[in-house]
This record gives sequence, C-alpha cells and structure tokens, in this order.
Amino acid sequence: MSKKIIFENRERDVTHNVSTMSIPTRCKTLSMLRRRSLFVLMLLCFCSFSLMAQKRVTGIVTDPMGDPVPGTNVVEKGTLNGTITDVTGAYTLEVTGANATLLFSFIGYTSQEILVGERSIINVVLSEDTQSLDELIVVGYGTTRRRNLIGAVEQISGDIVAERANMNVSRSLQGQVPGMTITLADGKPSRNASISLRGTSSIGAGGSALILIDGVEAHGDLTTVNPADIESISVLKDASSAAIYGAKGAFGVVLITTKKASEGKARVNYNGGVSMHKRIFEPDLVWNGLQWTDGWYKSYIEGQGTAPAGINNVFKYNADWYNELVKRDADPTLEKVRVNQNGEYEYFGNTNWFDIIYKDHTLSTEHNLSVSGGTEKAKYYVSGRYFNQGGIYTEGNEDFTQYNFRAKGSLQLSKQIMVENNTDFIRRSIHQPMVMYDRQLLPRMLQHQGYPMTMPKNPDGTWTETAVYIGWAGFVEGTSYQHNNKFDLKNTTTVTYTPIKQLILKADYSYYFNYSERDRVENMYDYYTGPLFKGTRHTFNSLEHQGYNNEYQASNFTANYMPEFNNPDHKLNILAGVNTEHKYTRNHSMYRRGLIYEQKPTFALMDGDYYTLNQTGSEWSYAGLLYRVNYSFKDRYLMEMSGRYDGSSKFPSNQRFGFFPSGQLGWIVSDESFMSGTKKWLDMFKLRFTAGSLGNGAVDPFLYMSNMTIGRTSAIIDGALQSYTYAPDNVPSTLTWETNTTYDVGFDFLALRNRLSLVFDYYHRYTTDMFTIGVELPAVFGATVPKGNNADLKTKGWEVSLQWQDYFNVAGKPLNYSIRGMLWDSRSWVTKYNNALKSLGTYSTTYYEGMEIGELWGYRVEGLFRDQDDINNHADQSAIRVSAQNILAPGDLKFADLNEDGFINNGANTADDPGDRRIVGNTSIRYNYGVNLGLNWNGIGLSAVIQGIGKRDWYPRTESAYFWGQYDRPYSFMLQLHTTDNVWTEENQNYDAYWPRYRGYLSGSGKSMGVINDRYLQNAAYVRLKNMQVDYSFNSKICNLLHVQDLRLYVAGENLWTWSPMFKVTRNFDPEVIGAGDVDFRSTSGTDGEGYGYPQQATYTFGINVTF
Amino acid sequence: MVLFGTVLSFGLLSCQDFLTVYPENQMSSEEFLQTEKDMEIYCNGFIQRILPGGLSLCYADANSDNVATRTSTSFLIGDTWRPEDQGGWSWTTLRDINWYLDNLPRAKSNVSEATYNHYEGVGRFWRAYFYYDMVKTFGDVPWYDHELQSTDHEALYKPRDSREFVMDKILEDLNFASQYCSSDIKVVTSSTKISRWVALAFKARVCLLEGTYRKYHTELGLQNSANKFLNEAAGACEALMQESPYKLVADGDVKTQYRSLFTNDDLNTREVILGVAYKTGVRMHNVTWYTLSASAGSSWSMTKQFVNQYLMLDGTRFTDKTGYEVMSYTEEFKNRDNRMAQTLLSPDYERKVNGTVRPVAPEWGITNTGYEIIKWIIDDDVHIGMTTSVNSLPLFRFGEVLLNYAEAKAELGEMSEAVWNQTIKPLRERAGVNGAVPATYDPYLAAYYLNQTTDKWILEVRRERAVEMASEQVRYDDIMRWKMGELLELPWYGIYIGELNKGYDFNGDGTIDLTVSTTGSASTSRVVLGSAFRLSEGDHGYIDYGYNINRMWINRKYLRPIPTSALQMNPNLGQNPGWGE
Repeated sequence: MSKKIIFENRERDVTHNVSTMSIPTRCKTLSMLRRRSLFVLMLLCFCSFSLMAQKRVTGIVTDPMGDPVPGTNVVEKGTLNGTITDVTGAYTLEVTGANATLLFSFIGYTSQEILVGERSIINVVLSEDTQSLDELIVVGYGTTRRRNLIGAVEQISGDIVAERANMNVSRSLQGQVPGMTITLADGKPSRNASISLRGTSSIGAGGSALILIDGVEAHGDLTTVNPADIESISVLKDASSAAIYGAKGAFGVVLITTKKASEGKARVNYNGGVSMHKRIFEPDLVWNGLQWTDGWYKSYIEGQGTAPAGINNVFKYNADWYNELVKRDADPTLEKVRVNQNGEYEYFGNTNWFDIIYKDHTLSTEHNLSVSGGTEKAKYYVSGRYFNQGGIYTEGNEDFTQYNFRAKGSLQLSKQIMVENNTDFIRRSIHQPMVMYDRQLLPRMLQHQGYPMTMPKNPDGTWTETAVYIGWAGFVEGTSYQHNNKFDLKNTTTVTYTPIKQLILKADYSYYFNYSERDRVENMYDYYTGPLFKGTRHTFNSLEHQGYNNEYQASNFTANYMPEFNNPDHKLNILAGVNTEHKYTRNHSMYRRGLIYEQKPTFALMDGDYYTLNQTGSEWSYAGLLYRVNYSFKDRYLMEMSGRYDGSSKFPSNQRFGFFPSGQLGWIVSDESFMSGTKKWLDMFKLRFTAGSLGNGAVDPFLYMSNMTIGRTSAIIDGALQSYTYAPDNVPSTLTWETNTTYDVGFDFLALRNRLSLVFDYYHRYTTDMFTIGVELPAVFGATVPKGNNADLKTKGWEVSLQWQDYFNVAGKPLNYSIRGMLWDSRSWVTKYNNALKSLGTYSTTYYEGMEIGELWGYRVEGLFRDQDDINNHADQSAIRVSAQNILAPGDLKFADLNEDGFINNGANTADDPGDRRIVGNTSIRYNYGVNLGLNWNGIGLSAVIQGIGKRDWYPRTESAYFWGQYDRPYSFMLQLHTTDNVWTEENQNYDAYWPRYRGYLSGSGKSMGVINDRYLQNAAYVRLKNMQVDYSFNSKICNLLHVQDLRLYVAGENLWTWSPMFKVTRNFDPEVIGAGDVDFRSTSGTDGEGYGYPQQATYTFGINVTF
Repeated sequence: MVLFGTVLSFGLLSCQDFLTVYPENQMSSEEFLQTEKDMEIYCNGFIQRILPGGLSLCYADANSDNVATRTSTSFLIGDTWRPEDQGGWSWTTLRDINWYLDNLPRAKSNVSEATYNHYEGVGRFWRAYFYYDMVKTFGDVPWYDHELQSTDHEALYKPRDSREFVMDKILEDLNFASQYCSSDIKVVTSSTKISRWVALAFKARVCLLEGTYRKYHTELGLQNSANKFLNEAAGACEALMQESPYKLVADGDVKTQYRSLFTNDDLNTREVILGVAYKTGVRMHNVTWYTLSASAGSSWSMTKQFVNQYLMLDGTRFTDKTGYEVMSYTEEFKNRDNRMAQTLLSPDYERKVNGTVRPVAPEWGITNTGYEIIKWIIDDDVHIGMTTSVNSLPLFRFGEVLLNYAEAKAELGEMSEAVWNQTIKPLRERAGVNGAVPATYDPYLAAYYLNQTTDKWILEVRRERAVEMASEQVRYDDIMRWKMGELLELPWYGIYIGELNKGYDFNGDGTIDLTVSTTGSASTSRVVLGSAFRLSEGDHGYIDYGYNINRMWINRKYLRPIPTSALQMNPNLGQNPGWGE
C-alpha cells in the first residue's frame, strides 16, 4: 500500500473513511463516495477503451469467514483496466501479462495488491479494514484515534460547510451534530449563531460554546472563518472531553481545524459559485384599502368604545374621506389621490408595500482560491476568499461583503525543532439602509403607518408623509443607513521541540487584534401633505460612530510524554501544560446631531448642540494548569484522566482559583474472547463511561469591585446636560465559578462490515453555584440583592445517531448510498433558586425550585361566549380585560375557572397558587433531529440534509402583528386569515371560530389574547429540507483535455421546503426564526413584533470546483 | 527556548498580578465624594433620576375628579383593587439618597461649611421628597436614614413607623434644607436645581397637605397637630413671599400670560421656582402628541362640573347665572376667567395646521367631554405624532405658593382681606378677573364639596386652586387631603347638548363639529350614544361619558394597600385598614 499513485491513494482514503466507524458524517462520506465514484467512472471508461489483453485471470474474492464479497473492484494497477466481482465473488479480467499487479478493493476492507505472475487463478481473502478506527479525532490539545475515544466527541469533515452557499458556517452545521442546537435570530448573512450543546446549562452567568479555531479562541464568532479552509470540526460535548479547557469549556467546545500545508508540488484549488436568494415566507396581508379600513374601524370601536379621531396619529379619517374611499374602491379607474377643500392630499390606494419594498430575489457570489505545497522541510497553505451578497430591498444599496485571507506554513528547522505559523485576516463590510425614526424595523413601521390606502409618492413626485415616516424615503434616497466594518487579524506561532522520540514539547503564542466600527447616519426628509403643505421628518439628523477595539493574547506550553513499555499491552500518554489568556477591550462611541450637508456625514461638518461621547471597555485574564493522562491495556481497556486548575481575574483573589477534574473509562467489549462468536457480524462494540466537571466564569469583569458609573444626564440642568452618578451596586459576597458536572454513559456499535453504525449517549448534568439573584430581602433594602453563586440546575438528555451505508448495482454500475439519522433531546430543571415563594414571572423570566426550563403558564380557554346569559353565569373575568370599557360581549374568549373560585385571575402568581393558570406548554426546543442522505452513481452525486425540531411551544408576543393582525393595534396589518368565517362576527355568530370578536388591542398586555392561554399557543415544531445538492464529476479524460486534475460542477439549494404544525393556523412565520427584533438596529425584542427580523431565504446555487 | 521561559514566567511567577485588573472607565466608590464637583455630580443624579417629566407631570391629575379619561385607573373601578395589584413599594431612591448622606462626611474637610451644608440640605430635600410620596401613598412607612446592609435584619424586617413620626422626620429634613440650601444666584437662576427657595416651596406643599389631612381625616386622631403643619406651611410661604426673588408673571396680556408659563420653550424663572427644562434637539417630550393623537393618548378631558367653577370676568359666579345649566359650549366661554380659554380648547382657539393658523374645534376621539385640554400643548400640528415638544414644564411655581399660603390661612381661620389681596386677588387679576373679595360663600361649590364647609374663604381658595393649578399634579392629592374621595365617583359630564341629531358648529367656521345621535357610525364629529356615551337627560343634557365604567369610592382607598409581595417578605409591616388582615 505504499506507492503513491493518485488513484490508489484515493481508494485507500475511501476505504478507510467510508468504513469509518462511529460517526462518519454525511459530507465526509459523500465526498468519499464522490471520489470513489470518480474512480469507478474512470475505471469504466478505461474498460471500454480496453487495450489488447494477453492474459486472463480469474478468481474468487472472499472475506475472512470464507463468504464471497461481491462488488469488489479488481483493477490492473497503473491502468484503467478493471472489473467488479459478481454475486459469488468471482471475477475475470484480461491483464497485460505476468508483470501486471492486481489491486483488490472494497468498502470496509483493506485493499490488497497482488502480482499476477504466472498464475491464472487468483483467489483473494480480503481482511476487514480497521483504519476507520484509526482516524484521528481532534480533541483538546491534541488528537486521538477513534478507537481510543471515550468521551462524547463528534467530528465532522470540513466538506460539510465548504460548498454550502452560506457566508458563515454555523448555518451549515445545523442538524449535523447530535446534541448541538444551532439557532439563528434571523436570516441575515452575517448573523452569528447561538450554539448550545446539550440544552440549557446555565441560568446564571450564561455563556455559550467555546469556539476555537486552530486552538485559538474565536470569541464565539463563527462568521469569520472561511468555510473552505476548514479541514474538520470537532465538538466536545461532555464535561470530561472539555475538561482540559477547564473554566471556559462549560458549554462544550467546538474545535475548528483548518487545512494543513501539504507536501508536494503546488496544488491550486478554485471553488466558486453564484447563488440566488429568495424570501421563504411572506405574510399574507390585506392590501385593499377599503377592506383594511373597515377592519380597522371595527376593531377600533370594539377595542376603545369610542370613535377614532384618525388612523393612528397622522392619517386623517372622516366621513367624507371614507365615502370617497367606498366610491373609488367601486370604480378602480378613479385616481387614488385627490386634494380636498383644505388643500390636503387624500389617499385611496390599494398599495402593497411589500411589493414595493422587497425584491423578488437577490444574488450572491463567492470565490475561493487556495494553493498548497512544499517540501518535506517547508510547507505552505495559502487561501483567499471573496463573498458578496446583495440586499433584499429594491432600494437602499444593502450589501454584505467579506474577504478572507489565510497563510499557513511550517518549517522543520532540525530533526527536533519545527516552527509553524498561521496567519488569518478578514475584512468585512456591511451596508444596510436604516429607518431613521428610532432605528425601528421596517416591518414595525409598516405595521404602524403603512396602510394600503397610503401611497409612496404624491402625483407631483414628492414624498408622502407615510413614505417618510416609515423610513422608505430614507431607503430610496440612500442617506439613512448603518455601515459596519470589521477587521480581524490573528497570528499563531508554534514551536515544537522533540528532544527524544517519547517527548514532545510545544509552545505557542497567539495574538488577535480586532477593530470594528459602526457608523449610523440618520437624515430628515421633506414630504407634502398637500401640494402646498410641506412637512419634515424627523426633527434632526445625526451621525453616530462606534469603534470597538479588541486585543487578545494567549499562550500555551505543553509537554507530551509517551513512554514505551516492554510489555506492549500497556500504553501511556501524558500531557501537561500551562495556558494563559488576556483580553482587553476598549470601545468609543460618538454621536452628534446636526449634519450640515446630509450627503457628507462627518463630524467635521456638523453643528448640532446635542452630542454624546463615551468610552467603555473591559479587561480580563485567565491562567490555567492542565493535564491529561491516557492509559490503555491491551487496547481494550481504556482510561483517561484530565483536569485543569484555573484562575480568573473576574473573581476576587480569595475565590479566584478552581480545580476541575474528570475521568473516563472505555471498554471495547467486542474484542473480548467471549465475544468471538459475534466476529462475523459485529465489527465493534464499545462501552463508554465518563464523568467530569467544568467551571463557568462568564460573568462581567469587575463585579467584585465597588465603582461609580458616571453618565451624562438627559435632564437639562443649568441649561445644559451634565454629568451625574448614583449609588454603586452592592458587591456580591460570593463570586466564583459555576460548576458543571456531567455523567455520561454511551456505546458505539458497528456491524455488518461497517455498514451499520449506532452511537448512543445518555447523560445527566448538574450545574451548581450558578451566579443568580441572592436571597430576596424586603424592598426597603433599596437595591437588587447582589447576585451570588446561588442556584443549581439539572439536565438530562440523550443523543442517538444511526447510519446505514451500502451499494447496489444499477445498469452494471454501483450505486452507493448512505443514510444517517440523528436525534437528540434534553430537559432541564431548576433544583435550587432563591425564590422561596415560587413566584412566577410574566414570561418565564423568573425561576423557582422545581421549575422546568422553558415552561409556560397560561389560562385555559373554554371557547367563545355565546350570549349575555353565558357571560352572566360565568366566573368574573374582569381581571382579563377585553377593551377600554372592559365589558364582555358574545364572541369574546371565555376562560376556564380552573380553581373554581368564581374569579378568573392568576391567584398569588406563584407556582403553588397560580389562580387559573396551569403549565400549558414549554418553549424549549425538544427532539432535534437531522437526516443526511447521500447517493452516488456514475459520477453523479445527490445529497440532502433534512433538519428539524420535534417540539417547541410558542405563544406570540403582544405586538406580533403577523399573528394578531388588527387584534393587536387596530391600525396594524390586516391578515387574510382574519377575513374568513373563522373569525366570530355578529353576522356569522360562529361560536366555533378560532378567532374571537374583532377587537383592537385585544392582544395587548393583560388583555384576553395578550395573556398566555392554550388556545393561541402554537406548536412551532418544524421539518425543513435544509440542503439538497446534485453534482457531477468529470472523468479524467475530460479533465486531462482541460489540463486540470479534478473538475466538478454542482447545483445546490438551501431551505427548499418547510413544514410546521403551526401552518394550520398561520403561514406568516418562519418557524425556525420566529424571534423578534434585529440586534443591528433598535433591540427591543418582546415589544417589537415577532417575525420582523431579517427574512430567511431559500437559496439556489450553481458552483464549480476545480483543482489544478 | 526563550519563548518557553517567557510563557512560564508569564503564566506562573506573576500569577496573582496577571489576574488582577482594574476598570479604566469607572471611579472606585471609596475614592468618590471627596470634592464639591463630586457632590454636584451626585446631586445631578437626583434630578436625573427622581424628577418627573413630560406626561407623568402634565397628566398626573388624570385620575382626579376634574378629568375624564378613556380608561380610568383600575384602582377606582368597583371593589376590584387588591393588595396584589399594588405597586410603588420601591426604595431604590432612598438607598441612593442615604448612600450619599452616609458618605458625604468624606468631603467635609475639603469644602467650606456653607457648601457642605448646602449639599447636605440637597440630599435631605430629596429624602423628604421621597418620603412625602410614600406617606401620601401608604400612610405609615418605615423610616430609614442610613443605607441598609443586607445583614441589618432588624431594620430590614421592622414594622412601619407611624405617620406622625415620619412626617416629623420629613419636616426635620425640610427645615434643614430650607435653612441651609443655598439661595446663591448660581443655584437659583436656572430654576433647575435645588435651592433654599425650592425647599421652602416644597415644605409649604408638604405641610399644607399634612395639616389639612390631619384636620379632615379625623379617623387618624391627629387633629391637634394639624395647625402645627398649617403654621409651618404658612411660614414657608411667608419666607418665599418676603425674601425670595420670585413674583407672579403678571405684566402682560391677560389672555395669554398664564398659559405662557406652560407652553414657552424656557422656564419662566421669574415665577417658576423649579421646573423641568426642554430644548430642541437636546431633550424633548411627547405631551402634544399624546394629547392630540387619536390612538396614543387617553383622551384626557375636563369635566363640566370643573368648568363651571371658572368665574365670570367681573368676578361673579358662572353658576349664579340663570340658565347656566343649559348653556351651550359656544355661549359658556363668553366673558369667563381668561384661564379657561388658556386651559381648554375654546371656540376662539386656533392652531397651526399644515403651516397655516386656522380655527380648530374639539375633536371627538381626542376629547370625550368636549373640553379638550390645551394647557400644555404646542399649537402646531407638526407635533402630532412626534416627540418634539420642547416647552419646559414647571414643577413648583410662585402661583402655588400664594395658593398654599391662602389655604393655610383659611384653614387656620386666619384668612383676611389683607391675605386675600396678597394671594387670590393677584392671581385673578392676572387672568383679567375682578379680584374683589366675595361677599358670600358659593352654594354651588359648597354642594360640590358635599357641604363639608360653608366657609367662603375655604371654598374660594379651593376654586382658585382648582382653576389655577388645573392639570398641574396637585388635584388628586387635594381630593385626598380634603377627604373628598366621593368626588371621584362623579359622572364625567361634558358639554350640554340641547337636541339629538342637530349639527353644532362650535366655532362658527361653517363646518359641523358635532352631531349627537343614536344611530350611524361614530366619527370625529359624530357621537353615537350607546356603550360609552349617553345624555344626562336621555334625549338631551350633558354628554355623559363612561357612565358604565364602575368608578367607586371606598374610604379605605385614601391609603393604598401594602403590596402583597412586601407583606410576604415582611409581615411586620401590617396592612392598611380595610385592605385585609
């Protein structure tokens, strides 16, 4: 197996990877299959070109048990001459002569080469391939072989993310790692994901998975790494695997390893593509002006009891206008604008603002180029990438651009010393149009002002007040926007010194520098409310600049000792090291009103009185001692101990240090002699037990010091804004690590010649001393009781992954396929919390002992009131208001008096006395799953990723107008789904209707739709076809003609199909990104409507991958 | 192997140093409060964090007898309010103040005695300000004059101190503040900082409240000490009237000068002792928007019963005129106290609409009684729908001092023509009203105040106070201290409507401003009788808005209940009478 012929080499890869035991991931497998198919394809091509043969060889290929192995590839080495064994394992091949060498290979077996010589019958016994178990898995401060792995670690290949049309890799990782839940707030290309491993692990300090790129902390940001650079992604899920990261690994660790410099002549790879993006969900709204106005009027009267004086605050409403609207609605030939006797414009439009504002589709392009090569002593890998995606709006020049550059090299200075360097920099620029008014979101402004009757422009081409108010004028004129720039530079230098074979000393030093800036320009626009009536919104224009500087340094020193024993049954590997880290952050913000020239936003050209200047920042240091000891006996009994002693500057000196140990035990049961009977079908069965603890110190720095915060007043004192301050916060009496202890039991099962694999893990995790509120004191204390290490949490969960891979012949050619399913779940309960009364918050924000994380308390709705008698005979429901007058009427929601006290209320608002509320649901994400499918035949590949969640409850927030429509504010969107008989009306008297009497403000706080209840609780589970890809690899003949090594074309789609149980009620939401708000602008999630974030898009990509 | 060595020494040898970092953007609290600058910065924090502004100042009367609102406070609805619903048991402000007073001695050696006393006075002023509000709300409350530590269990869990004790403490603080706070021009000139005059004005308000509260709330058994507080109130007013630079703004146009106090960009520092300043582009409020917006506000409107209290220009009573009960909106504004048209939208009212000044009539949807409040708004529709109002808002003004003085004197039985001429007369004359002393008590007012008194002085002072201070944050407290809670049940009467289905043109501009009918759809110029409106006499009479909102007075409502959560934390607090055990 030594000669380096490219085909052989690949075939070797294939065998060992496809049969990879425990958790070979879809993409890795697929890529192997692709390569395999390429090989087969070429082989077949060659067959058809068949050169004259001089000698015929026949034989039978069997496995060690003597059973035939059909489908084995038999190739004459160095040629394209070959065949495949039949169902009896037999083959026949004409070879060039006695010097020919036959190469036998098959999935799951070690390939063999046999010199033909004088023989004409060559029977071969293929031995099972064990190399999959020798695959190197990246773990903390090193690698280990798959066979020896005990912890819950998942490694996936970088291929999985390289060819997905995503600016950031986190989207591509969804549904790929059991136990890893990735949620994205919205569909913005630059949006960083929130990565949670194994559910909620802290309700105190909080935190997220530690992400390391080539061993250096990425500060939680997965958006900057070039997906094409990634060699592998390794996820350390249990505490014992992450223990070597001590106090930073409490939420699991994601290790991203970039591609290595490889020896040989320069290899140039280009991968690029162009994608088209299209919004997946568009709310189904009423855009007819008259229909909308009738809905508005009805819901207003029902909600307020009195007549409206106008539509919200600026659109004038009176009988004249309405009568004219009726007339013009009936006759569409009439103008949609008129000037009334006061000289004001009146509008009668049927404007679909979404059509005006949103593009049908947008494009993105990506180009990746990498070069690698070198000699035995000096190797290099250099890559660059350009990514650009356009905006979703028809105007406003929205744009996302990112450049990546990476250079890696290694130099073997002497036999003992190697120096490596890894430099990475990125430059990103994002330009987004912005609503000037309070930096609100455009859908929010449309909800409040974008009625169908309004129009963007007046007949003379001037802006209408609506167009200016909602921010659209600013989009079109391009002078209100946010611009972000980001520049990151990272450098790691590593020296490895190997004084003797058994000892490796390694030292590295990393430096990370980041400068990010955010500029916001807000301008005023003129509008006309009549041909002669000019107005301006808003009252000022402004420029804001925020600059963020981050500097981070880390260094590691490790010693790795692997003694050799006379008895080879014993294997020992000891690692010990020191790690230090320091981060310094300094931010500046400047804001001033009064641009002299709106097209030239600079502080040099401003004259406003109002300005602010501020500086914030933080600084912290960590230091830790780490160790890991691996011991195995007979390669069958595995043991690992690791741990870390950590110190953090965030804690006072007497509580600064913590020790976090862990241990692992593994037993490869299938290697035991008593299991010999199962050898025929069982490839491996390994039992794993781990236990470990980790710290979490993700609190703000300086919490233990008493400091004065000095700010600038908004109050005008002596004619100006002044400095002010107030009493310092109380200092916590305890402030130290949260501890996170996990017990994990699992097994790996591999059978039927590596075709079936099953991995299972079950765990309990105890998070203790979480940094949460202190023992409540009487309010006269006058301050929030300082937080302390006060609360505990328990989590139970499991993960399973099952894979089957095989092939069968179609039209004489093998069709390889694989299917992999993953399912995981976890639940968490608060086991200790300072809430003696068990009082319930308003929106699951308060914890109490015994509470399950995510639980939702709500009322039960019995139905709709039928008549006044029904109302009179029912319990007193006045605590849940229906209108300003609060007088119930038929068609209103009827709540169940569960505690039968004659009143519908929330009792003492405690878990023990919740009144008529019960737990009606849970917002936690449950039953995550992912399914990967791969198919490969004759150079054609097909793959698919399906991802989803099995359970998640969602109660729409009070201002979610895509759900509540005019039940929210009367002047909100009118939903098409509220125009059917499924809404109770005086006319239809439909008591089975889902929607009650059409009252405005009914979804408001404390109102009957605003209080959580079981009727409008939605099941936001979903299943989504995340990715589907078809590719074609050209055969070598064509490649040779084109002077390239490899050439592959692919077409891929993202987010192609979605289904959710909530679609029964509404299709106005993307169940994956329901959340409210957009952190780039005003961040008021909870009050802003859900579904207003940047839309997720379906993406269609055409790409090419070529290697020279 | 230099790198190895560096790493080792960096990581191990200087570990504690490496792990100790200090913030660069904050001051250590131990080093703070050493200089006059520090004290000034801290006192700015009180203004920033405690003073009300915008809506909370302009519409604090919304739940009083004078104002009809779209949604009445649930506190007044029926017998539904429960201790669980009660909020306001927040003590953050007190900790903020006590932390300051506890740590202030650090600066003692660095500043003059007068300066030190001024700043101590400012802190004590704010403590009184805080406790005044707590006593008004809850009656007895625990008194703390030092910052509490989490270990001070005895203090944290102590019972409430008596109203008497706490009021005496408040008085101590106020006496200190009104003696030592500076009256230096530097402090006084902008009317935005705490000065001796502010302390005196506040002291007068506090003591008047407490004196009358004790006098009328005989259930407390504190009648004997009522006069002590009334005398303190009178004394504080006298100090202001004799020593302070403040005067009534009264040398301009009787039709506009009163309102100019509330709608001008700058605080009128001649009359305003303390106010909240606003400035274009720097700090703006949304009072105009909320008042005039159809959807944002609560349609605050004055009631007919209140409007009847405005006198005629000749000093006679409107309610003495024959036929006053059935007078139309257009008629009733004629020859009235000029404050009426400066408080309410009158038939002569004009506002800039689309840049042009034009007559504007009451809009039904913004007002529910017809008496739209214009006292605080800017007469330009560009402010409708934008937080762009920049009129500065008075909090304590000399006009109130005169009223406080007159009332203290009247309640003490020491009212005289001399006192009248110093107080009520100039206020009336500023609005163009004949300021002569009335000969007899007003039976309309006596009846309005449920025949509590027929003392003409007291009744006239109450009229003057209601009219002068309309919508200025004192009316609800007045009702409480006079023990007049029943007034909160009064119907919200609006303008008089002679007949149904008749189109009324209020300002003679030729357009119909209101039709009241029983059918059709409601609009800004059409009131449809039904769920929210009726006429007091069925087919004619006063517009009766919100008649079906069950506003109900119960005497226990004079004090708010101690919130359930506070009692759960500390049962020693005990509940207020009538609110449960």
